[in-house]
Amino acid sequence: MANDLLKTVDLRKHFKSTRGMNPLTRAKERVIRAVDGVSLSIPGGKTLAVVGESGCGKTTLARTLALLVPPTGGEIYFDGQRIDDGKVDDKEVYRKLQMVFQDPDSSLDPMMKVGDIVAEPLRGLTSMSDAEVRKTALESLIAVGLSGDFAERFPDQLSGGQKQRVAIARAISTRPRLLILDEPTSALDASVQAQILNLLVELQRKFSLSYMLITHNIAVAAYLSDAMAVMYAGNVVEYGPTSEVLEKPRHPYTMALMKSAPTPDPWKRTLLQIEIAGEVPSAIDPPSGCKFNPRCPFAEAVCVAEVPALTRITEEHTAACHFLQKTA
Amino acid sequence: MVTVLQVSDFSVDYRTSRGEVRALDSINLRVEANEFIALVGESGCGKTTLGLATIGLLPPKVARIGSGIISYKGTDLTKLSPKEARKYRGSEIAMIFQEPLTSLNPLKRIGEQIGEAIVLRRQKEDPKGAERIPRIPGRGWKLPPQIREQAERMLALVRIPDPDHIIDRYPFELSGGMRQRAMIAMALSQQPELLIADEPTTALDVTTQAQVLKLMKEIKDKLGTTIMLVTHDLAVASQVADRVVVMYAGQIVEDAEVHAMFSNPRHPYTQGLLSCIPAGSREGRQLTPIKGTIPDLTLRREWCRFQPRCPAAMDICARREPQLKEVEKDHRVACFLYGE
Amino acid sequence: MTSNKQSLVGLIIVLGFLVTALLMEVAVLLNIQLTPYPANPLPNQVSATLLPPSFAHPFGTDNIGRDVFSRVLVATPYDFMIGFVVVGSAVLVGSMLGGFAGLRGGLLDEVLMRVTDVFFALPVLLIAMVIGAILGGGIGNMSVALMITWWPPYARLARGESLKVAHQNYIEASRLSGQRPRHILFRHILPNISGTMLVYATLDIGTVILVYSGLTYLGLGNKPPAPDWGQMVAAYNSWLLSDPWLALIPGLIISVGVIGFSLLGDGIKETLGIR
Repeated sequence: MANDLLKTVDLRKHFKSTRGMNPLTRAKERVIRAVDGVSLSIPGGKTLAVVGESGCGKTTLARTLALLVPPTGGEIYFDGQRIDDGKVDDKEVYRKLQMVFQDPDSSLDPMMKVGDIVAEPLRGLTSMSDAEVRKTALESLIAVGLSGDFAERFPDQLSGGQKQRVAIARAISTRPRLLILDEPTSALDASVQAQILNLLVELQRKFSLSYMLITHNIAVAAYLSDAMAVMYAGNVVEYGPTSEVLEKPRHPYTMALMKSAPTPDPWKRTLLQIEIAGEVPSAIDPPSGCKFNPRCPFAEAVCVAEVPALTRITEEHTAACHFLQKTA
Repeated sequence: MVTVLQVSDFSVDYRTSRGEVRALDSINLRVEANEFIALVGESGCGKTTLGLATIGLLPPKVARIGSGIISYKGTDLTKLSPKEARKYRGSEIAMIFQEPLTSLNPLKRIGEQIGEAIVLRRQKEDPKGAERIPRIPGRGWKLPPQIREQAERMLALVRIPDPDHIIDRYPFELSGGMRQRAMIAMALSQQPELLIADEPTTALDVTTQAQVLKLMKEIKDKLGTTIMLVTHDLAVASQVADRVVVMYAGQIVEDAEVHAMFSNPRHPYTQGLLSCIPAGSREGRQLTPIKGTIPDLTLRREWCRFQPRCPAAMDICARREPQLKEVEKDHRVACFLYGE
Repeated sequence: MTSNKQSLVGLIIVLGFLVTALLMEVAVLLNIQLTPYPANPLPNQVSATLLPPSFAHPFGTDNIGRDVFSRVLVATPYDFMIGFVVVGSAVLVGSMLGGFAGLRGGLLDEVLMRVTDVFFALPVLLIAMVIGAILGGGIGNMSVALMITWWPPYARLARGESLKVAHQNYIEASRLSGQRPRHILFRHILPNISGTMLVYATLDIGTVILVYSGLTYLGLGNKPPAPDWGQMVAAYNSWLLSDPWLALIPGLIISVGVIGFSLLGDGIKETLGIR
């Protein structure tokens, strides 16, 4: 789609693991396929949730998109330009693409005042005067619901929720177009989480932001996102509009994931009906073929032999499974 | 119904650098046999303290029992000497924690740790006749075949694949979910009456969490164990518990059978918590966070602790403290909205 | 910090020495005598020899009739301040090297650390003695000798602390703000490792004082008759049994100096640890 703000084509990020490796012969050098061919897109003003459990590659995906690590293969397009080939200045990208991290405690430099923390992107990425920087930073603080006098405080004087707000203020200070949110509320209490989620909704509306939301919490993903991509062991296994993926999941892993997600409803105890066994596979030595096959109740011989491609279910909903007819 | 645990007017104070904090304030709770009860609340509400107090593991220098008793099948646990308490801990009341890496001894194999638990149980039943796990100099340990077999059975009970293989592994060789299961196996090896689980699945993946919770429900159904689950996640509680107890700032604010709690939450805090949980898209239902923050527990209050944040606060709420009362069958609330 | 009695004592001791050192330095610059008696008296200025400690001579007099108290005072700027000079330079060099290595990692880290290892292997006393033999003794040359060999532990420490900090999210956020490694090092890494470095440095100053006293004991200090605490201990050795105060008191002064820094360092560690 031409109006996609962010688009990835077959993005790959592999790490070399040298554990147990003989340095001379390089035998046993293993490759960790953290992100193994991911293609997604985010239109302007919309939210894409990337959901999955530990080891699925969603955090690596986020960091690769933010150019914090160089991709091993594939393409990344942002705002019409290709950004992964090293030809574009990353400062230009960061003016429009920012990130909020999971742990509010390590997101803020404990030796810096809040005002300086929020101003850092402005100082590093723009040529604004000092007065303009201060004014914009103040506006960002107010936009996230903190009063101006927070600028003089230090992070250890803030609560978890306030710290996360400062991190968000920092991320929006250059008025970017896309925010990558890596588990923005996982470390917070329930009522604080609700406040931050509401804030994110408001900011999206106010500043016409796009979000890529990385999370393992299905409820949060459902609340914030328009589209959802489910990742498992480095691949996207299901991808489509959030309502469709939630109500009519077709990939066996997605189905298990949806059942496992606890909902506050004692009459629908889907969690107790879960049929999945085993654990997330090792990244170094994944199963052959479809990586979910050892845990899949529908697996057959072809699942071990061949990796399934993303198959179209409806116009925007795809899933990577050889036996979509079994889950219809 | 047999009452397994009766907590009466129980209080605990903590000595902190900022002053004395009343972590638990006049807790009244009854747990019946074979019940799955969930203690739910946000950080600082006292749920973990209650669990630790029950099993007698409150930090000795810092925590002080203010008043009240915790009665286990008629015996007041708070008045026991350390030696007497040890008789109950592990064999009658067992506990599992959030991070299995710190609860399992990293230097001992899984089998040995479960074996120890089994041997401990036998010693309690039959102090003279029980066998010990012999130590072979230079080669570590060796489980007697009978104990090994029982350990394998425990591992199979918690659905660990390849128990005979896992028995010889060290904790670091297992994944998080497996470690948590091994811990449950260890806790169950002493055949406890009551199992306290303190946030056992918080650090686990969603699907692993589901498997472990399902396992705990099976244990309750098959072995008749009473389970006390401590969690911050109201949704998790709704999926597995028979009864939910909501705590706020050291007190119980609502205590009800699970369906009653979710169809008709009475206390404004419970209602607030429920409306914080995202469910469905944002167009469907707005999240309404509870305004304000958790109170400073160093300040003693003689009035309702939730009052500053309560959307339904009345005059009396700032003057007196509401007591936990039964408002309908098996549904207790501490709130002046339901009378004095 | 002052709530802890021990660190208060340490602070007082250190301040006491510091003030003395500054006063003595001023005295030298202005060419006046602030000590009760001249430290290097002319033959007509000496007092009676081998006097035990008294009100007039708090530390007694030595075999030539010099007032030991005055000599100790005059040696203070050298023997005490060398601690600051050596540790100061070690912190500077070590922090930047180690901080940078921890931040960048990779080949640069390896190279810097191997260089550090080479310097780490140099034996302090031996280097000092070699330099003393070739270039002569004196505080200048000994300072150089100590500065060459003193920085490696600081580089190691800075690198370790820097590694802990480098993985924090705010460092990544800084990269996302377009900041370059140099900015990240000075603005983020160094301030966040400064606490640990400060504690280590404070405890270490005492060690430098001790080592330098050892060097002056071996005769590598300033040329006599200029006094150095360690040199005095060596020189007055022969009178250890007959007039013990001569050798013991300078030794005691050294110990007090070291203890002062030790207590102060612990106090700083507690303060920063709590914060």
